[in-house]
Amino acid sequence: MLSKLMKYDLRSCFRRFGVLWIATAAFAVLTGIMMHGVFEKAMESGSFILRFLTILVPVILIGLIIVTGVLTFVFICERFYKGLLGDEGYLMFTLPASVSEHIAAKALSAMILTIISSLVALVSGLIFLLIYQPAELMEGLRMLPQILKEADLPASVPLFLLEILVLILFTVAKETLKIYASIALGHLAKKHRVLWAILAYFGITTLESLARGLVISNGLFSRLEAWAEEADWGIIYTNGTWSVTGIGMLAGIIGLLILVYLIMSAVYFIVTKVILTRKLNLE
Amino acid sequence: MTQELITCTGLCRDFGDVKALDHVDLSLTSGKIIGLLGPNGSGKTTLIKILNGLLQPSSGEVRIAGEFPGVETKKIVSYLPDRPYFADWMRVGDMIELFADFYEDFDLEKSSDMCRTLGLKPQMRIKSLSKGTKEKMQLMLVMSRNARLYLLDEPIAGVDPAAREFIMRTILTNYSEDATVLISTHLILDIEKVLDEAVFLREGSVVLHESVDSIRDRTNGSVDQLFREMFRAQLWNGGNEYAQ
Repeated sequence: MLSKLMKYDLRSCFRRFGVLWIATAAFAVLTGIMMHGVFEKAMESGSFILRFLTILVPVILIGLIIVTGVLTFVFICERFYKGLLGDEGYLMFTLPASVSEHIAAKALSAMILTIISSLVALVSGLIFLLIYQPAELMEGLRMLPQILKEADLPASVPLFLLEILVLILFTVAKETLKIYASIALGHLAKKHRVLWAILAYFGITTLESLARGLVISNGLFSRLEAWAEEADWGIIYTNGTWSVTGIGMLAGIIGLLILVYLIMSAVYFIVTKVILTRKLNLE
Repeated sequence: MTQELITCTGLCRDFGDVKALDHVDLSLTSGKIIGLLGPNGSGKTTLIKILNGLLQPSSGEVRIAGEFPGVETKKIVSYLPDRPYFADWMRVGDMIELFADFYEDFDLEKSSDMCRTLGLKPQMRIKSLSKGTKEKMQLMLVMSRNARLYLLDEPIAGVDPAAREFIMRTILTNYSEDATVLISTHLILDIEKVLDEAVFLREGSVVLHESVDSIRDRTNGSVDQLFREMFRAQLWNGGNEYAQ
């Protein structure tokens, strides 16, 4: 059931964002072309339209990246609110799927959407660089394997990078489930449910900050800081080789963060599940 | 088949101080077309929502084919809500695919036939359909299932007489013979002739549950007449003389 639910969630994502992603990539290409040669020619030629375009196209690219980011956030909130707690809920909650499957499908789809939107922004930047300064970029890419080969990197570096990726994933999961828990808490109100959901979101965020403050004041966080200092994390270049120090200690701290985010994600998931199971009351 | 399909025991649902359902005890069997009849605000939609697992009872319990409302009952219940539930990005084909994906009892051939009758094509955007066509499409999806229980909430409210006839014909020609169809409405005249049983709800309580033949024999009148008398009386003196 989970994969079936995700299929329809992702389909709605792609129909909404497909054009935006393609437009962002297309404007990255255009911006690259503009900056590569057209910009100088435009300045020399004195043509107003050409000069206007060389300024407009990069502005549109930046605008598209910002709009994609904002719409991604709005879409994640909207798909959960309208898809489960609006009129569409009458369909979704009568499908033979459990509440957990509904929440998981929405959360996983939201994570995939966030990752794709981020990748589109990243790839657009690369496309721009590839066209704007192809020689420099290619040189950099060509040098990279050589640098990695020469560097005296500990064997754990790839694992460490993987750990950072996992941390990013859990951060996205935690933030997504926090939004869902807030919307579910807002659903408990009889009126002005959106307003209550927004207040719940800020309330939870404040609680998170307070909890963080508590941990710091209890010394655990300062202990972590001390560990980080002991780790003396850094990339050092000595005698013609690169080396990485303190990676094990840093990996431990990030591992702890992953565990905290995992627990927080589970708490938000359970809050959402309990409310949607016991207190569901579609308008 | 006359085995019990729905059993409600002491079912209550409160919304603050309002009792939407007040100790409902009800037992409905398979293979019947049953009218869930009552004026606006009598608790019809609340009862149907609880049967669908869209609301939890405040107290009491409900079972469908022996199970509490949940994933298993949703496999055998086909529900038509009193509002359109389509996502605005969907096309007709997406909805049919969704139903076929999730419900094992969905009959693609039946849905294709009904789409032809309604002039619906898979590539049509649901957003662009008229309100009436959306309602008919929803009914088409619900009746394309070979479910054991059809819960139809106000299927003929707010549509013209021609559309009502189409809707009733669609229901009657598409439900499986051993299934139960529970139709909630206050437009009794339009559905009376197809009903086997009638359940009257007033202020959240079942005030009558009787076979339509028995009502006609007992009152020498129609269900519609009895309904009008009971609920007209309710306006003046509570209508207690008709309560059973």
